[in-house]
Amino acid sequence: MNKVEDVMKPVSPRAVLEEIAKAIPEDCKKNIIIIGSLAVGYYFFVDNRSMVVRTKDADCLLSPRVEAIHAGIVVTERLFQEDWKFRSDEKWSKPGDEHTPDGKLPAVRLNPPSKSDWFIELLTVPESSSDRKKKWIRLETSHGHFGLCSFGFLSLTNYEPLSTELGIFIARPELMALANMLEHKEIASEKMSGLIQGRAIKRSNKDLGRVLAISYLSIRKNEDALLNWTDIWQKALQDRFPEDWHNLAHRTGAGLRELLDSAQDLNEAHHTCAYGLLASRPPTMEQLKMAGLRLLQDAVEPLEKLGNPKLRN
Amino acid sequence: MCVTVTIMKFKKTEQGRASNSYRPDWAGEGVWIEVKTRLQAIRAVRDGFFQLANAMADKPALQGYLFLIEPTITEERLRDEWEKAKKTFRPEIIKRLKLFIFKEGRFIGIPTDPEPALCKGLNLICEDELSHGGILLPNPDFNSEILKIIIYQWIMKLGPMTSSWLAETVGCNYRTVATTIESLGNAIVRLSDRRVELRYFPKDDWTRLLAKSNKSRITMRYADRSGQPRSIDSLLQRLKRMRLHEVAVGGILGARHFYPKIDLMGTPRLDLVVHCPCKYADIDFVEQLDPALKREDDPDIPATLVLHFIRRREKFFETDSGEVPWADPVECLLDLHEVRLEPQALEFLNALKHKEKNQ
Repeated sequence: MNKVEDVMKPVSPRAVLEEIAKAIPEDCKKNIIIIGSLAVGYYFFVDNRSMVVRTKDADCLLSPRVEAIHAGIVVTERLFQEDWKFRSDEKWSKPGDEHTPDGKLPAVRLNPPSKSDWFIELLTVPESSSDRKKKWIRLETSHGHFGLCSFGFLSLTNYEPLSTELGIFIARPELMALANMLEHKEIASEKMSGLIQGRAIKRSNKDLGRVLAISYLSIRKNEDALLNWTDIWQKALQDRFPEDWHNLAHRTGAGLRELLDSAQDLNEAHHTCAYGLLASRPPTMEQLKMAGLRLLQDAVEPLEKLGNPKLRN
Repeated sequence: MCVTVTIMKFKKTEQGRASNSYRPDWAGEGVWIEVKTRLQAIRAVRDGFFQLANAMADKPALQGYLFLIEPTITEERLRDEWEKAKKTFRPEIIKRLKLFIFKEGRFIGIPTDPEPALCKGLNLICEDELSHGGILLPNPDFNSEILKIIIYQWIMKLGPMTSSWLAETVGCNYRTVATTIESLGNAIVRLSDRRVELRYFPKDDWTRLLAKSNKSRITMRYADRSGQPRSIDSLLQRLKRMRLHEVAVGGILGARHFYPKIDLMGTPRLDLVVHCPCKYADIDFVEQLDPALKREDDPDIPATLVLHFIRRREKFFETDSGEVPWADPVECLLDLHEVRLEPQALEFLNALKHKEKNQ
């Protein structure tokens, strides 16, 4: 039986991003976009050092794709030089080598020097707009072979990323929300490999819970913020998926609706938010649901209308 | 044997837009149907008979059906009421008047059960009425509506009015108008051409209206459930974009619209007046305004949004260049009283009294 453990640790988004920015070679910073809960946390809590989010990893997207392998190798070499350590787990005790098949390569997951509460993970964007399955590209470094993963709708998160004072970029929270919604058009039964505060959680609920958390935080910042999302969602979809954007837009909210209609799934999503992104000031489950309903009304439904085949032309 | 059943065709009437005082809920060829759903009070049965009989007296060929859908009154009680109606109305009226009841899946007729063709037609009415998406409102308080209009005419300096105009504007019968005017006593001036207007503000009648406004003026309160309540300004902007013609802004915002100098700081809640001459109110717009607003019946919990329903035919809304319809000043005045802003209500009333015409 697999050993499962609580994986989320409280960290300060600003402190983590500072540490990453300090370790990344200057000429590679332009290729790094932080995505996931740390990017969201940094965006919303940048002025508040005391605010923490609970997470396990700092997802770094290497972009553009053509520079991803070179940047990945340079960054990995530098981090090892700076005494970052390979994060071993039950599946991978050490980096791969030339005999390891691409699909079996470990990801670049490195703990910062003398710390084990979080790790950096390198990812990249898919090669083309039709390329949505999980794929691994080999990174050959002097410390071994690693896999650089790309999947699904990651290409949305490098659309007009936001620059930070640290020299690296963060993904736009609203585009991370869109990517997560498109990734989960239904609530799948697959569960996360680790426990979140003692509970096994469906991956869909964790990712769609992130969507709710982003909406909740956005409303806290500006009560009408969600009204502006449809426009950038449409532009990003048209840019990244020119052939298919209508179909994607038309089904954007399917998974989110399923989540909001299921008390059990919503409870799991709330749990991940209360012990994750919203750990500092967790809302009630009803409050989180209301953020979801507002998101559907203000941003998702207008986008779905744009993609509706009956309303086209 | 093959039996052909013809469905009698009835059409729903457009309530509130008719030119004469009474319009039934449904009408067919030579038939008017007054429909009352889930009726509880026998008085409404009498009113229904009276309205139909009154119309039938003017239209000798007209048949009148009072159709009760799922009433809570017993069949025995309804038969008693029919016997009273038989004694009250002339025979040429009573032979054209019928009472139909739909209860627990079957049709009953008094004095005789409906024919199969008629049952089909009544069944379609049932389906429409029972599947209605809106909420069912209680019977309108026409006396209050009449009083509010008389005061509105006086405040706006619009001059005297006839009883028939009042009956048409409210959507009630002449008798109700006469009773309300009578109750105003010395506050009413009767002109030689039978028009009436207020002599002064009817303070006592207004106080009575306020005292019963909890019941007569249907009010629905909504509170935020998100923990992140939308500001009144955000709700107002969203309302603007919805371009609703039957919903107007009242309350503090409305009072400030009519009298900008009013001594009020801030806007704790949004009061909206919903024009609803029909018995069903469509309030889906509340969810569009904010899905986090939920109905709140506890008066101790502060409401973000409050709906008030006006039941008369004419709404007296006013639209400015910003395209937000404003409720009439009498409704705004009632809203100020409802939130216990008595000094401001008095200030507002005095300002309205002394306002020049068309100012």
